[in-house]
Amino acid sequence: MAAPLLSVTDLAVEFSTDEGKLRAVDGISYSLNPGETLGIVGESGSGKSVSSLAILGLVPYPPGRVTSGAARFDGVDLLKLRPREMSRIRGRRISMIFQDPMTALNPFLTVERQLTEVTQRHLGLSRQRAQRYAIEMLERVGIPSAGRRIFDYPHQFSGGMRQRVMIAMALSCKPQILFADEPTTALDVTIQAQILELLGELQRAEGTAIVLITHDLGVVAGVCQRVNVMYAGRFVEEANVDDLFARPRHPYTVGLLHSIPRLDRAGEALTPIPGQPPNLAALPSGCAFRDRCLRASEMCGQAVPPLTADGKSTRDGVKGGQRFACFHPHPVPEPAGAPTP
Amino acid sequence: MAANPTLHPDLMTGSGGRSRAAEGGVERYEALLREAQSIRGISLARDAWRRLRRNRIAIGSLGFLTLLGVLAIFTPFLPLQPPRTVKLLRQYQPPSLWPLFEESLSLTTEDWADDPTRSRTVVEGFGELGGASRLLLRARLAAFGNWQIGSICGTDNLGRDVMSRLFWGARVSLLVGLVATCVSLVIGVAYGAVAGYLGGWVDNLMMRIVDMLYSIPFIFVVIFVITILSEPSLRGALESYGIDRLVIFFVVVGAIYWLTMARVVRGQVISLKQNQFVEAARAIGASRTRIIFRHLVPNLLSVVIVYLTLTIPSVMLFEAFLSFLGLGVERPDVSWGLMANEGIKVITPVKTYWWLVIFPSLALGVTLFSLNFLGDGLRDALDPRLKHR
Amino acid sequence: MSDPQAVSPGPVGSGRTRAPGPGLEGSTPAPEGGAERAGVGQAEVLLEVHNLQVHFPFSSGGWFGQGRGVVRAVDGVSFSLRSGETLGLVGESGCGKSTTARAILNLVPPTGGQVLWRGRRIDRLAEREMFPFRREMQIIFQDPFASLNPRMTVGDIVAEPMKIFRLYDRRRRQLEVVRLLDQVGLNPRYLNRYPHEFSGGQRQRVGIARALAVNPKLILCDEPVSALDVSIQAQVINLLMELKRELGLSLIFIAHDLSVVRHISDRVGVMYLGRLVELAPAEDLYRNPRHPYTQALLSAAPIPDPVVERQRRRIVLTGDVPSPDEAHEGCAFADRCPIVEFDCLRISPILQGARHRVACLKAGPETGNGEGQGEVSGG
Ligand SMILES: Nc1ncnc2c1ncn2[C@@H]1O[C@H](COP(=O)(O)OP(=O)(O)OP(=O)(O)O)[C@@H](O)[C@H]1O
Ligand SMILES: Nc1ncnc2c1ncn2[C@@H]1O[C@H](COP(=O)(O)OP(=O)(O)OP(=O)(O)O)[C@@H](O)[C@H]1O
Ligand code: SF4
Ligand SMILES: [Mg+2]
Ligand SMILES: [Mg+2]
Repeated sequence: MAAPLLSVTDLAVEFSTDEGKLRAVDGISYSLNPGETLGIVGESGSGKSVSSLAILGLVPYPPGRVTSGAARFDGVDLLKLRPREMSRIRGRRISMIFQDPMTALNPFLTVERQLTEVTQRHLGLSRQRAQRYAIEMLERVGIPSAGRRIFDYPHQFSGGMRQRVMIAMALSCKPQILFADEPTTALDVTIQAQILELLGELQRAEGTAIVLITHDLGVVAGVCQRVNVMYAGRFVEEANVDDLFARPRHPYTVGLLHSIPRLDRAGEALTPIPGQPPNLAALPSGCAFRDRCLRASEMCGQAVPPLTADGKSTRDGVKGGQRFACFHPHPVPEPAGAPTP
Repeated sequence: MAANPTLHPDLMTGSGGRSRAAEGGVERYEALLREAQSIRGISLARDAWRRLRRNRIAIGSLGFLTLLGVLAIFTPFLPLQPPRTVKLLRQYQPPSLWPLFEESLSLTTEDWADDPTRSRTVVEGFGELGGASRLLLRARLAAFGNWQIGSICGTDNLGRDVMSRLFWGARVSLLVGLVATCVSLVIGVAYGAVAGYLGGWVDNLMMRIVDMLYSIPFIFVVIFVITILSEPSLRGALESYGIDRLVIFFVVVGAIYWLTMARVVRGQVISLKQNQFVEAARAIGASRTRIIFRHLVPNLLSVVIVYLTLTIPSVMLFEAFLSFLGLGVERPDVSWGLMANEGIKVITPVKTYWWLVIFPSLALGVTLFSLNFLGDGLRDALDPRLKHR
Repeated sequence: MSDPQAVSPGPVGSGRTRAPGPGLEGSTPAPEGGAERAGVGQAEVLLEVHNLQVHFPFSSGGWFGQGRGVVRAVDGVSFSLRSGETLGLVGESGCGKSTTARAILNLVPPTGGQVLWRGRRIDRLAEREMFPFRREMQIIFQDPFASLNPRMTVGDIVAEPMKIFRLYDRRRRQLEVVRLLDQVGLNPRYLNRYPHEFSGGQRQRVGIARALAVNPKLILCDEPVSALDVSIQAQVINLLMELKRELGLSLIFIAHDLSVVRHISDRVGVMYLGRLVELAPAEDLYRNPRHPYTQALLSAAPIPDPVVERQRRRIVLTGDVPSPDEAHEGCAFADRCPIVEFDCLRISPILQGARHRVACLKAGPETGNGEGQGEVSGG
C-alpha cells in the first residue's frame, strides 16, 4: 500500500480544570490510508472527539493544550501549522462533521449562505455557481426539493436533515479526509441507515478517507475496515474489523462485546463491565482499566501496558495487524470452530 | 458524562443486592445505616462555595464588601469626626496625615439625654440617631473619649470631615442598595413565580403587563414623581406620615427593578417545571405545595442570589445618579452620590478640590466593582453547566 | 430476603400493617416463576389502554399565544398488560412513546380514550383521586441527570415517596432506604450524598430505588438506558430484569434500541407517529415482522458483527418522519413505505390480528413464517 494519507504519532492533549491537569488524549498514534474507514470507539469522555479536534487545531485554548505529537499530512505537520495555514486546509482538504449539528451550523445564516461560503472561499466559485453546486450537494445527501429548502434557516430542518446539511457542507470541497464525530448518534436508526449509506456512497465516489467516531459497535461493524478502541485517552486495542469482533484481545473490548444485547440473538445473558466509566482526573496507577478488569494482576498496577502485537515488546507488530495494550490479553480462540451458534 | 471526581470506587456494592440482603438482614442494614450517617455528602451550596473560594477576585470582593458592611454598621462606634459639624475655619483642607489624631471632640455623654419615649434623638453634629446608633456612640465615647481621627481625606466647603462623611454616606448608600433590591426581590419573585408556575393565559397576561411597563422610560418617570412629591405642601403631608425621600426612593426603585427579576424568576420556574424531577415528584404523588417548596424554591435560590448581587450595584448607581441630580438623598443626610455632587459643584476654573470628588467616586466605584465581581464569581460557581457531570 | 422475625418489634409500629410487599419483611413471594414468556397468558390483566389519545395544542405566536393546530402526540393507542409481563415499546424519536407513558400515569391529561387499572378507569381522575394509584405505578426516566432533584440527598430522594404515602416511621424508613439502595446495587453508605456526586449509571439506580420504594406493581421505564454508556447499559438492564423476576413486577419498557427491547420484553409494540403499527410477542415480531416499518427498523439496526453485517440487505427508507402536527389521511407511513399502494393513501389501517397484531393493509398472513423482508439474518 502507498504511504498513509495521514499519520498521527504520539498525540497528547491536556486540559487544565478544577481538579488539576487531566490528559484527555494520552499519546495516541495511528495512520489513515486513502479511501479507508477507520473507526474510533470508546466510552463517553474517553477523548474521541478531542483527538480529532486536536488534529484540526480546534481544541479550545484555554483550557486545552496539545502537549505533544505530530500529525503528518501531505508532507506537513498539521499540529505545527499557523492558524492561517490551517484554515486553508480545514474545510477543504480535511473536514469534519461535528457531534452536535445545531452548534456547528450558524442559526442566523441560511443554509445557502453557509454552504456557498465554503466553496466560494476554497474553490473560488462565483456566488451563482456556488449556489448551483450547493443545491446539487443537498440533492445528493437526499434533501427533497433542495432548490427551495436551501434558503431555509437551520432551525427549519429536522435533526436528520441538519445532519445531512452538515455532511453536504463537509463534503462540498471533496476533502481527502473526513472526520465524522458521532454523525448518527442523535438520529433514529432508519435515518442512521440513510446517512451511513450516503457516506459509503460518497466515499466510493470520491475516495475519501473517513475517521468515524462512535460508541456504537454495530455501526463500526457495518462500515469500518479498521478500528481503534479508546479508553481513558489511550488506544487499548487496534485491529481490522473482523479480527476485533472475532478475536478481541483486550479485556475492555471483550467486555464491551459481551455487554451489548444483539438483535439477532434472543435471551443471551449480558455480562456487564463492572464499575464506572473512567474519571480522567483520578485514574488508577498503571493500566487505566485496572479497577474494572477481571484479569487484572499486581503487575497491571505497576506499569502502563504498551500497545503491542504480543503484549510484551514495545516494537510495532506487523503493519495493519492487531495490537492491544494489556498484560493479560484474552487468548486467541481456536481458528477452526469459531462461528457462534 | 464523564465519571465524577468525587466518586468513590467502592460506591457500588458490586453484586446485585439480593444475595447480600439475604445474608445479614436487618442487623446488617442497621449497621450500614449507622455507617452512612457518619458520611456527609457535598451539597451544591458547599460545592459552589468550594469553587468560589478558588476565585481570588470574587473572594477579595467578598472580603471587601464584608469589611465595608461591618464598618458601615459600626460607624457610630468609630472615632470619626461628627459628619455634620460645620467648621468654617477648616474649609477646603486638602488631605493630610497630620494630625492623625486630635483630641477635640466636643461631645460628652451628658450632652444628650436618652429619652426612652422617642426612638430617634438628634445629637449635635450627628443628626438624628436611632437607639442602636446611640448605644454605639456611647460605647465610642467610653472607648475613645474625646479623641477623633484628623481630616485625613480633607474637608469640604463647610469644613466637614470627608472621611467621616464617607462612612456615614456608606450607611445610606448600602442601605438604599439593599432595601430597594429587597423590595424588587419580593415583588419580582412572587410575580415571576406565580406567572411561571400557573402558565397559560395567566402567564401571558402577566408577562404582557411586564412588557408594557418595560417600555416606559423610567428615569423620567422617577424624576417626575420625585419632583412632584418634593413640592413643599405635598412633602409636609407625606412627612407627617413618616414618609421621607428615602422611603419614596425605595418604593420607586423597587418598582422598577422587579421587572427584570420577575422575568428571570419566571423563566427559571418554567424551565424547572419542565425538569424531570418535578414530573418525578408528581409521579410519586407529591402535592403541589410540596413540589413548590421542596423542589422548585430551593432550586431558584442560586439564580436569585446571583441576580441580587448584580441588582444591588445598579440600584446604588441609580441612587448616586439621582442624588447627583439633586433628586435622591437630601441634605443633611449624606450619600456617596450626594458627596460627589457637592464636590463637582465647587469645582471652579481656578481651583479644583479633587478630594471632594475622588474619594466618594472611588468608594462607589470599588463597591460596585466588588459587587459585580462577586456576582460573576457566584454565577460561575453556581452555574450547573460548569458542574462536573 | 430476611425473616420477618428479624425486624426488631419496636420502631416498626404501624408500618407493618400498611406495607405489604417485599419490604424488610420480605413477605411477598415472587409470583409464578414462569411468568416470563409462556405463562403470562393466564395472569391477571393489570392495565388496559383503549384508544388513548393525547393532543397538544400548539401556539403559533400571537399576542396572547392563541393556539392554532394540535400536535397529535398519541393518536389512538390500545394495548393491555398482564401481571408479570414486560411490554416493550419502540419507535423513532417523537413518535409518542414518552407521552403514552405519561398519559397512563396521568402526568399529562389524555385527550381521549380510556386507561383502566385492574378494571377501574383512571384517566381523567383528579390528582387527589389518582393518589392511591400512584403507589401501584411508578416511572423511571430517561435522563438520570434531570430526574433527580440536585438539592436533595440520595437518601431523601428515595425516602420521599414513603414519606408522601406515610409508610413506616422515620427510623424504619431510613432502614428501608438502606435496603433499597442495597437492592439496586448502590452502596448505602453514601445515602447522604447528592446526585451530582454519582455517575449516570448510579443515578439511574437511584431513580430505580425511588420507583421501588412504594412497592409498585408496574414500572414504566422511559428509555432508562439510552443516556448511559454502553458498558453501563448492561448493568442497568440486568438489574431491571433481576428486580422484575424477584419482585414480580410488570414493566413497560420504552426504548428506541430494538436489541435492548428484544432482550427484556415478552411482547413488543412498534409505534409510528402516535400509533401502534405492530404489537406481537417478542419472538414473533423479531422473527417475522409484518409491518413494512418494523421490517425497515429491524433491517436498519446495526448488529455488532462484521460478518453478519456484510450479508444483510438493508431496507433504506427515504424521507423523514413527518411531523405529528399535520393531519394526514390514510396510512401515516405511506409516504415512506416501500410497498405503498393506492389504497394506503385513503384508508387508515387499524391494528388487526389475534396474537401478532399489525396495522397494515398489505401485511402478510398472521401465521406466515420467514417471509418478512426485513428478517434479521445470521445468528
Ligand atoms: N473544554 C474542555 N474543558 C475541560 N475538559 C474538557 C474539555 N473538552 C473535553 N474535556 C475533557 O476531555 C475528555 C475527553 O473529551 P471528549 O469530548 O474527547 O470525549 P468523547 O470521547 O468525545 O466523549 P463523547 O462520547 O461524550 O463525545 C473528557 O473527559 C472531558 O472531561
Ligand atoms: N408538552 C408538550 N407540548 C407540546 N408538544 C409535545 C409535548 N410533549 C411532547 N410533545 C410532542 O409530542 C410528540 C411526541 O413526543 P414524545 O416525547 O412522546 O416522543 P418520544 O417517542 O418519547 O420521543 P423520544 O424518543 O425523542 O423521547 C413530539 O412531536 C413532541 O414534540
Ligand atoms: S398500509 Fe400500505 S403504506 Fe401503510 S404501511 Fe402498510 S403497506 Fe405501507
Ligand atoms: Mg465526543
Ligand atoms: Mg421520550
